[in-house]
Amino acid sequence: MPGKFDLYAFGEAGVNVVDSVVHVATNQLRIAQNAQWNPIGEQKGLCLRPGMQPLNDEAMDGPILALFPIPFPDPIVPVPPTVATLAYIASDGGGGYLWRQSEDGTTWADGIPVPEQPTPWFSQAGNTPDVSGRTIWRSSISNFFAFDGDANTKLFGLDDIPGFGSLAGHTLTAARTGLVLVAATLDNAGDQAVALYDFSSGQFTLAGGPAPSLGAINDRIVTAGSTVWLVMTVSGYDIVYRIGLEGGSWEAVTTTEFPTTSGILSIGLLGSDVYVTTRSSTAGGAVWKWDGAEFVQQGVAISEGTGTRAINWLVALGGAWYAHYSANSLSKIFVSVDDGANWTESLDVFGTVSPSAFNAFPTVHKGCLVVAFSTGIWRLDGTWSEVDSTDPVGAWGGFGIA
Amino acid sequence: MPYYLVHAGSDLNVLAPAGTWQGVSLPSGVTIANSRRARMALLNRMVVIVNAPSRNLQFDAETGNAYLLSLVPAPATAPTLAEGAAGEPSGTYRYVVSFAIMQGTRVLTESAWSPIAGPITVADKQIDLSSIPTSLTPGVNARRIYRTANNGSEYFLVTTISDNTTTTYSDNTSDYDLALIGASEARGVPPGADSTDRAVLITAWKDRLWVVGANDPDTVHGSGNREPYVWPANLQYVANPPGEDATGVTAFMARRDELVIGKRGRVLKMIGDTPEDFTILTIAEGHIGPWSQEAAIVVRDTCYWLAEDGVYEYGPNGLVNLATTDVYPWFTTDDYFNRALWDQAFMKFNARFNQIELHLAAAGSTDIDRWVSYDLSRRRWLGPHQTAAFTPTAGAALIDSASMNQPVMGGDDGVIWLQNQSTSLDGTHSIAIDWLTPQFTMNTPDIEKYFGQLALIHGNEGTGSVVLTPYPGDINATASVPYTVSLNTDRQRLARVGIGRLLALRFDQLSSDTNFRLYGLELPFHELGRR
Repeated sequence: MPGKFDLYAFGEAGVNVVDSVVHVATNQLRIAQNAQWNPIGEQKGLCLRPGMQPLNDEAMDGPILALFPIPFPDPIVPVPPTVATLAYIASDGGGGYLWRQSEDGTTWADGIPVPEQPTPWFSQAGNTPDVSGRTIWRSSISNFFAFDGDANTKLFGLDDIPGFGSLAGHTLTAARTGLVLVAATLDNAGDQAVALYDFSSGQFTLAGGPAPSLGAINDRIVTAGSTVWLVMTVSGYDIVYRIGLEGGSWEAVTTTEFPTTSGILSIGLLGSDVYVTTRSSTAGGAVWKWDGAEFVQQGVAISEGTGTRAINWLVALGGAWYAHYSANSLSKIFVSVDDGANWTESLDVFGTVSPSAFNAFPTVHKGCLVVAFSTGIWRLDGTWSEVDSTDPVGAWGGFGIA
Repeated sequence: MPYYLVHAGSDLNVLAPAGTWQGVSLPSGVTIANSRRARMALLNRMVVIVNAPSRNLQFDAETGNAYLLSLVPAPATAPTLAEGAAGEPSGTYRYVVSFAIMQGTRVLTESAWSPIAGPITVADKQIDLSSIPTSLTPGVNARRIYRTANNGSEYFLVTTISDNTTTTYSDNTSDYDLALIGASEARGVPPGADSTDRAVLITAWKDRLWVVGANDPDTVHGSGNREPYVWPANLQYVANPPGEDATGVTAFMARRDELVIGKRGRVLKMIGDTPEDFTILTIAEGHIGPWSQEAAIVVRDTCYWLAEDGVYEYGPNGLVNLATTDVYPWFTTDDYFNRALWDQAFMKFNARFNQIELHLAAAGSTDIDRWVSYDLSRRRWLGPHQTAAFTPTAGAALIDSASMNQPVMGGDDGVIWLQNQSTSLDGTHSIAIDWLTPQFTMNTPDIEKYFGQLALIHGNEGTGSVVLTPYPGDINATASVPYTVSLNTDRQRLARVGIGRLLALRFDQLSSDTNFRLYGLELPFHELGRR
């Protein structure tokens, strides 16, 4: 006897592994691996489940164990994944050019020496901006370099800004994607300039015109939005200037040194706010934040020890401020969890390294504060630990992540 | 734009919807375990994180800063009280003091109260406090002084001393002014405030956080109202009976008007609105309770959880085991899944398909490498599913950049995988299908039949193919010659199937990066008779 079996509700009743072979409904399935009912124009049929794609390009350090959505604006500007793979520390090494690198921030190994190294060839004070995935280094002799962390090669050697002579004593900071800001403190013509270098075009663009004064910048420069803030030492005073990246002119936002201070050691950003750190032989090292009209001291100064007492740099990480503080025969990391209202000692470097070696270059690598001191590299991951005790001939200098 | 907190290995990371991430800087001395899942709840802009951290953490959702949830130790001594100059207070008063870490006027955390100072009785006199304790804990930048009203037992905040040095204060606050701000809930600490205990579960309900500790897993602790750092000692409730098993409370599920509290042996609920009327009642007993917090979710005010013998639903329609009708053996035998890993299962909601997805370990596997899906519209199951791209280790319903539901899986590869993507690949891996029909009887299972040319109606994918293997014969029929079905058309008539009383069909070997939409089939047959 002829018959015809039509089934147009294929799998509509889902999986059934309960009923017997002669009782199970024809529109059920025994197995439905990677099957999906699709209510978006495909209802009543059965289709392949949609695929999955990675959200994070760079894998996290371990299996994912928990996830939690936070319905607030993301307050953190993450380190780009491509920037968090390798951390580099270089040393002038007294001619040794020691070069250490790490992927996890804990295990460090010698890197391959960079070809065509000038002498000295490292940047100062950790001013090794990342631009388009390249860690940019500069020599204090003649030109600056783009260092490709993967290829371990020198990519650029730029000699001058057109019309302003050679780049003597310049400093660097990242401006925006693909651009590096070059602040030249002195040039052959006796002028100063702040310029953008565009890697894609190989061209310089002056920002703000020639500088109004002469004086050293010494890496005290930061980009805040479309404005560059820098500190220039003029006639013995450290003056803070602003310059528009897209035009505008130089503007002095302070006229003399801060009250009770004798110098600005660093300038940076706390969120979107510009801050400076200062030194003083009387008032101690302090943090000052721009409130829109003036720099206002935050909390209290650190005044431990004797001599000129200074906050050399500040790193805001998580809920805390970490400050490198130095005085006579003293080099410590202090921490504040209340915006400088109270400072507590986090790491006493003096007991670990030579008292004469106060150089300390910080970076944040994979969420941890890493500091290169002259005789070792320390990492704060809940607690401080010395993760590399390699002792270069000279001091460590420069710190980059590529 | 929203973002995510991710527990990966021994790290706590912040992840943006664009995929960039970085570690959360933890308070000094705090570590994250890689053997316990972090559990989190959001209250008053603070995400409180328990179970994985060595001490409970709170994460400021607006600033991205992490702090310890609790401030310990509390003041060990009470301030000294003395009658002062002429003033407002008139009556009998008691005082307590706490340490605090504040950011401006915002309290980040606060210690438990000191021992009680007093009573002191004054008449129109200020009250001078001296020997106000100071803290040795780094970061403490304030002390808070509380006082009763005349002969009262509730404490009101009198003032905040914005330093950690001042040891005296003269109180000239009248009872009237004191009561204007309302009484404070007693300051205390939850399990996990120090290394002596660990908070293992947490949820938010009725503007409070609720936790269970490892040392006493039958007791539910509540926080202050919209104060995640406040844990009144009187806000503790036992999920009876205590000592029933070693695991105690295994999951919270917060509904609008009740907090469902799961234990493996029973399901309870807390009802009420205030500390005065919070009460725990039993919903049902027997081995029907949740096995893990991660496999217990709430969708539209209805709870779903993995229990010993299936997936239970509890909501407006009561308590139902969703597995008994069609897939009971999935949960009651060892043929499909490794039930010894029930406590590692996890579940999430996929809004696009209105389905819950339960992740389990395949039989014999030690990884959570399978998942099944339950369609809340049809109330039917599909699966078990799998992926070749990674081994799932966590799942969640996140929210995308538009704040819409975005289900994800976390992998053992440290990657968060977005589901519901437009591709037919998992990363670069093919998605393997295995669809097996029941044996079609044509309502005559005892009659031998000749099955003719099978016609398949399916979507035109433009490329690719799928393999269809027929199983004509009896109950133990073996595979016949398979057909390769081209998917660059929307209908195909295949060769004759063969002879048998029954016929099953299996679809597999789908081409990589190809969708497969099966709409139906038509199969002519001829009954040959009883043999």
